[in-house]
Amino acid sequence: MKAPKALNVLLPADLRRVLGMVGVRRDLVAGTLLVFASAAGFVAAPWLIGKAVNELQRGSTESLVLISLGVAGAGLLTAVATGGATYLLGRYAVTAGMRIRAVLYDRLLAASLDLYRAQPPAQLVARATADVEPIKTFVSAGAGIAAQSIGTLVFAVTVMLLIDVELTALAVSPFLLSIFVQFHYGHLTRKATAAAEQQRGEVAATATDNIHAARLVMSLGRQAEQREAFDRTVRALFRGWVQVGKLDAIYGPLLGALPYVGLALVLAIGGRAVIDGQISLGEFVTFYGYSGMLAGVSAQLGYLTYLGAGASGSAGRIVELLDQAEETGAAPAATQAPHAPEVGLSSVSVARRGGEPALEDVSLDVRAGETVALVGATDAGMATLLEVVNGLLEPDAGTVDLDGRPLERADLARLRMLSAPAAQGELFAMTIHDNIAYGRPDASAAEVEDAARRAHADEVAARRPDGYDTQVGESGGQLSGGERQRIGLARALLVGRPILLLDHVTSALDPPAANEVLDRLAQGTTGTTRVMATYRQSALTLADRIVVLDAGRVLAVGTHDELVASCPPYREMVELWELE
Amino acid sequence: MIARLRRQFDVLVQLYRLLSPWRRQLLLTAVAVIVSTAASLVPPYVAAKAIDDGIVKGDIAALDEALVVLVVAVALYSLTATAQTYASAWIAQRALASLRSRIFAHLQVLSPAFYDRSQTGDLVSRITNDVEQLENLVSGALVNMTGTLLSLVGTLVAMFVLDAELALVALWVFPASFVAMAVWGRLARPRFRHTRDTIGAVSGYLLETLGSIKIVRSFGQEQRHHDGFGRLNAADGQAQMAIKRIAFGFSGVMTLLPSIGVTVILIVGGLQVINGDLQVGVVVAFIAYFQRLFAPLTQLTNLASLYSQGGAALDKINALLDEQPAIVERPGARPLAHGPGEVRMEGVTFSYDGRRTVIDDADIVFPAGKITAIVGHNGAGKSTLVSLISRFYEPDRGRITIDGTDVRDVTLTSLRRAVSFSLQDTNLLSGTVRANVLLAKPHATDEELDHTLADLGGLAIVRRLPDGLDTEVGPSGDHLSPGQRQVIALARTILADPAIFILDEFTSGLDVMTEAGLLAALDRRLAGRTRIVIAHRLGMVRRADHIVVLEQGRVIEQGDHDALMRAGGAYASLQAESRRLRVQAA
Repeated sequence: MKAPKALNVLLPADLRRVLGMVGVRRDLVAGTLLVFASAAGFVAAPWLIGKAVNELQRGSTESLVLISLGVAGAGLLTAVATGGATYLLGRYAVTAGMRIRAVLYDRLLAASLDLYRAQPPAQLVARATADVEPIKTFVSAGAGIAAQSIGTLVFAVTVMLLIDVELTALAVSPFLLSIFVQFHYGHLTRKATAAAEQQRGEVAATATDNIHAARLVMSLGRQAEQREAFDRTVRALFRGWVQVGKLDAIYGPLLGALPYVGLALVLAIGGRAVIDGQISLGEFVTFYGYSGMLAGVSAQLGYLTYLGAGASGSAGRIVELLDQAEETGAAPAATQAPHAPEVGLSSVSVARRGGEPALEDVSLDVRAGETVALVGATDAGMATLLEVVNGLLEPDAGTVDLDGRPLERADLARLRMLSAPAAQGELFAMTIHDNIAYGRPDASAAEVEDAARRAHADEVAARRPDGYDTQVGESGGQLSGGERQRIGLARALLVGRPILLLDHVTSALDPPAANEVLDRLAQGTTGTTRVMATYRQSALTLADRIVVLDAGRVLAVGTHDELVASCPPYREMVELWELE
Repeated sequence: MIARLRRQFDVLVQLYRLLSPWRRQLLLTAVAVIVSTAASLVPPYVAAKAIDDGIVKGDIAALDEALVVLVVAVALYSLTATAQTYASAWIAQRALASLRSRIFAHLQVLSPAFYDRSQTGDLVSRITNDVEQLENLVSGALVNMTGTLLSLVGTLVAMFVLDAELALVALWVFPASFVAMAVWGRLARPRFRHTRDTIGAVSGYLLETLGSIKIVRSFGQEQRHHDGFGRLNAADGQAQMAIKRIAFGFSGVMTLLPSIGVTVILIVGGLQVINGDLQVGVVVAFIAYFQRLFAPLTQLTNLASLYSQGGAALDKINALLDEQPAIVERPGARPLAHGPGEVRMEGVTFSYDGRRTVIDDADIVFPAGKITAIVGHNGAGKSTLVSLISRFYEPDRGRITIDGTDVRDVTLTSLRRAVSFSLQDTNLLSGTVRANVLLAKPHATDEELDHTLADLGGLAIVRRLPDGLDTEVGPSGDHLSPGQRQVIALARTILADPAIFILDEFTSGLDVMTEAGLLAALDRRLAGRTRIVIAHRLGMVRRADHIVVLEQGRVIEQGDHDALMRAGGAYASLQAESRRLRVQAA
């Protein structure tokens, strides 16, 4: 079901799009209808009270009691309708929240990695959690408020018009004025609040920074300077919120006073009309009741625009993310190549976020079963090259061949099924067993233990009372860097893919442990194609060929002896290694 | 019940203490609250007068008189409400700003041991989320609630003044509402708590899987996480629906109660009017007052949750403020005198938890102006050993001196400025490159910066950045590469001009060429300074004047490279192991 046309005018495009993902559901329609019913009951009360006052003056006890019970009856109708509406609209909001989150998450799982480079994961999480809440509030409370306000307004003004047209005009005019003021106030407050919230972000960021670097600030003895910088952000935040307070102080009481202007007008003009016999006292009392009710409607409409602004801000951020996430690497192919493939890069270039090249015009053939080592300086582009071979990154220029055939963009994902990365050891908050079995959840305990042995990770489990059932904690925080590296390596070995990508797999290990890992890799992964990035000479033992990278370009390719003879930067590097 | 009341009183006392520096402003606010509340009570009463004395009797003068009173009351209300709103916002924000500053300043004096066992997110939360919870309590509870309570009491008084009998008849609504709210609170609280857990699980799952998206994708586990997230998302939805189901009844009851109240007033009051015991206007005003009772009542329910949340936030903040720094200056501590920089450890023993000994009876002399290397396996205690020199932690036994002065006898700032650390994970603060370098020496000139960077071979690196020295480095220096971060951190350390230099694995994330460049630059800039080096790469170690070999916290060998090689002990075997595969590779 699509949203009705009428909503298009009232709802900003972003919000419409997000709500479009949820669809108009029965809960929303039924809930809104119930709110109208509750508004009818609500509005009936002042009318009935007016009737009762007239009966009082006539002295009719029986009618008085009957009408009074009518008030209770209207109350019962309102209560049942309100309760039902709260439940149905609430259910709609919960469904909407779940649906938006699910769509977002699926989109993010498939999105291109550029998206992840552009923003930290915490921000992505905020889109799917914090930003969903204002939208939920808007659809549950907002739909209710809109229906309630419109219902009250329509019913109340109709009754008032039936009593006296002129008096209605008088009573309604402060209400119209207050709606205008309300919107103006809302606009200013939103701006001021946004500014204050920006400052709040500054305070949080400065605090985070300083806590992260507490030891550094301590060791430089610069606490006083840092404290002064933090206090500046706190003062700016103070000023921001006081600005919001100032607006509240001006507009809040003004809006509070306006209904009394209506009341004064009703008293002055309506009172005279009663004295002149134009309307009854009961009708006057009804009017009196409604002018109070209209003030409530104006406040509610103000609240509705506030909710709407919050929801549309959130929706804007969600839509922006959805659009960015549109650019997607295709789903991984289900089939797995039976043999070790050859992977070729020709003239591949990849740009960094700043536009500087991470890889420039790189051509390289990785033959089946060989071991290629990448060496170079810190920013030479080794990690990027591994990600291209892994099928995680699409080159900005150039092609990637698989067994001699160029891969279409959409097919790059096939590379992912062929290769397994042993990265810096990013682990999940699961057990050691589950982390190693991450790529093959169905692996048996024996298979997991075998992979661990081949990665020299068996001793990580052996050293702990719970063995392979040890929980590694958030991001593997319960393990040391070297332990995480080895678990990550075991995870890559277990999936048994034909290409193994080794990204500085021994950097956090001391020389004896690093050597052990390399020995076991040499024995345990024969026949596998291996591509490894390293700063350490020891890792070159495994290499058939060595690729020297410099600032994203391939400087030379060859065996150790060839490179020593032909590549001066490599020779220089080897000389430095020899000094160690 | 009594315990709860005492607790609420306790929270109030603490809030008062927080606000007490602004007593005068508070007093002003209180006056404004009283006047504005009183003024807001006038209109229904005036309306009753207008009906009974003016309209019913046909007396236009009385009607106009009532009108004048109404206008004056409304004007008075507007003015005092403005004053009250502004003053309360100002006081609350002022108090919270100073609380934020106080928490931050306190965090600065706490020792590394405290940071070791705390999570950054948690600590930041004290300054942001918890202070905001308090803000809700301060502005919501203290100021609005005073107004709410006053208007509640005022409304009740007005009702009793109008007609005591009728007031008593109407009052049953109070206990009924309280019962409804209590039932709601009891039912809703555990359900709300449950949703906090379920939404926490959703966020945690998102953060973990999106944070490791490359792993997820490389191993083709998208479907698994789609399903896993679906389960948590559904659980959260169910938890929220559990609240909606009881909200259905509560909102119904709270809507019904006022209607029943009005009905009762109409019947009882109406009968009195018919009997001539009461005037019509009084019934109308009575109904107006009665309907006003409900808004404050619902606000009072919110008060309970504001109170419990604010109280919990106060507890957390207080716990942090009560945290005592583990390491403090002795009374009469003096600044460390400038000297050659000889560090001496005598019988130093240390343990983090009081159980497992990490450093065991270490006797080491780090000679002034020389390079001392510390070697050993992962977990031997190397980093711990050097962090004791700056008093980041306190030895359980033994003492550490610098040029003969016990480090416990000098001021912490002078000690820490004299000893500098370069670590593998360098810390940059967000801000520009310049700001980061100037942290060490706030008044250094640009020439000095350029000179230092040039010495490190870092000038070209900085010039290549988009805005040179004014480039933003991002949170923790995220926008820069490890090599760039390391150069900037080293420039900062050199500008700080410490007497003693500690280099802890600071090149292990770097390639051998970058490393060689930095080491050569350090040799030039730091010749004659005391240097303590921890490294896995034994090349750096060989050039040291003195080498200390640690094993499980014990010093097992000391001496220079040649002596230790000749001895053929642990050091010699470490060297052999490190050469084994390299030689094979070459």
